[in-house]
Amino acid sequence: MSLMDMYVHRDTPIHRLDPRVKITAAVFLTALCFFLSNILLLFTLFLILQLSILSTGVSIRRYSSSLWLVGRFALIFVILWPFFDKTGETVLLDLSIYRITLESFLRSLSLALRILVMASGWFLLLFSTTQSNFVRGLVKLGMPYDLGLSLSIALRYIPHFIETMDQVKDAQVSRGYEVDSRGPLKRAKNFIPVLIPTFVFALRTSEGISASLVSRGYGASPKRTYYRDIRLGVADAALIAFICVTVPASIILELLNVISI
Amino acid sequence: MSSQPIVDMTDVSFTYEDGTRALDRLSIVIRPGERVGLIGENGAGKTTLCKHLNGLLHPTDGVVLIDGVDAAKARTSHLARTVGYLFQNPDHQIFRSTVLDEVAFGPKNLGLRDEVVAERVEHYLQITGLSDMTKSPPLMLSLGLRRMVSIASILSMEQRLIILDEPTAWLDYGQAAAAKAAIQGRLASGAAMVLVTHDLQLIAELTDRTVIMSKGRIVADDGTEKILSDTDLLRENGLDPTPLIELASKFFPEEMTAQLWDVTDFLNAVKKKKRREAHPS
Repeated sequence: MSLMDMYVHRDTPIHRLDPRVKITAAVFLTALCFFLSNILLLFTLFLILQLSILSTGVSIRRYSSSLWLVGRFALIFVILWPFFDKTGETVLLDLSIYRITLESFLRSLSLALRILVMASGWFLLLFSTTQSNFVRGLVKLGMPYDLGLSLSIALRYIPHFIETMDQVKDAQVSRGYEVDSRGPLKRAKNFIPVLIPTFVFALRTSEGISASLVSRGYGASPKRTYYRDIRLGVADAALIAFICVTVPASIILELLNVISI
Repeated sequence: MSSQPIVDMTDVSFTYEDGTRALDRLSIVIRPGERVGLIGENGAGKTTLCKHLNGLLHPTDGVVLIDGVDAAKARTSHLARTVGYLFQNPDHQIFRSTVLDEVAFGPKNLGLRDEVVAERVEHYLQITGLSDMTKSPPLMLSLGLRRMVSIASILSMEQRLIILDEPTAWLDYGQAAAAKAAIQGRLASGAAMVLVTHDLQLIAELTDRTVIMSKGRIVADDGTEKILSDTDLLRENGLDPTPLIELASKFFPEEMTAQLWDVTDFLNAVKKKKRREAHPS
């Protein structure tokens, strides 16, 4: 499963939200993560996001494997942080080179939580928004239509290219070629017979799609109409209001340091 | 034919990750030199079966022996010494800068001496009609010629079993004739073949045994003449008998042979029949 193919086919209130609102919420959440450092605030956000994600109907197994992709980096940060930050007075562990203090541990935890909150926000968006709605939302938010269409086609073809790459690999090993070998450099070199046909396939496919689009009148009219349009609903307005309240509130709480451990 | 089978599949089942059961307790034995046609509707399990023959897929249940070796325990690149696999799309394999290098790629992977590689490459380029384009970049050739390059590159490995997936797809009349001649030349030297195609005329021309698959199972396995004569069986399994095969089965229901699937031979047989009817004695 690629990151761009995470949509869960369900019909939940979160699925029905306008993609523009969901994209905006994810962007605000990301920006907020750069600002917030309070662990309690971040943890609260994390919990709210987990509940929202589970309400999209995604299986715990699938979600945990997605979260682990990011979670491993968060874990590495927590483990490596004491090597670079030895400040603080409350020592939890002292192995000379590796000294963990309560203060540095909390800072590393804060950073890990920021990563997890940021990722969860985008997971929520990708689990509940189809690729076409995602792109439609971006276009409505101001992305040029040409760029939106290119992005949409690119996303749609990612699974196809992965499948093609697998087929190319099968074809080469069937001719006695060893694709997998030890060592990253050798493996990269051995992958050339797989990459070239895949790349050529991608070029030929894009040429075909381009010819097919212009043959069907793409670009003939400067102003295009839409078969399916998206409109804001009551739930979208409620989410916008929620963002308008929680984002400034979080910033104020962070600045005033009202909640602290 | 009492020698060890080149393929011995016993009670093989295979289920894809999404839960699709593609092979269902399937057993088949193919002996050296046999020419087997594998036909059936799309999704019948033909490609899945073929991918078990060179270790690209491993059975969920059952055993696949290739020349006595358990295919599930061998690497595909090692099984390539015994099994050649021509994929349906030539663009899935071509990557070298010249036709010559592309055709030499397989034999070199087998570790053959340079002079043997050169000899084989020259031979297979010649019989596939590519001798004049040895220095051409294969990726820039027409689709038909790219198909011929892929056929030459598989045949030049000279394995004991070749799996051919729609070998004449995208070929024009002349290229198809050259491809068939090249394949027949390889078969004449004793190689066994599994031919996957929807082209029943090709099955009639190149095989002597035909297997029909449906829903991951073998529903018929017999001589090609017998299978292709049974137009009802073909239709039941989503296959369309060629007009000539249908005509021959109507005209000569009792004496259907593969020879009747050639237009000239069919016309001669009709003339002969007419003469017999005109002069019963």
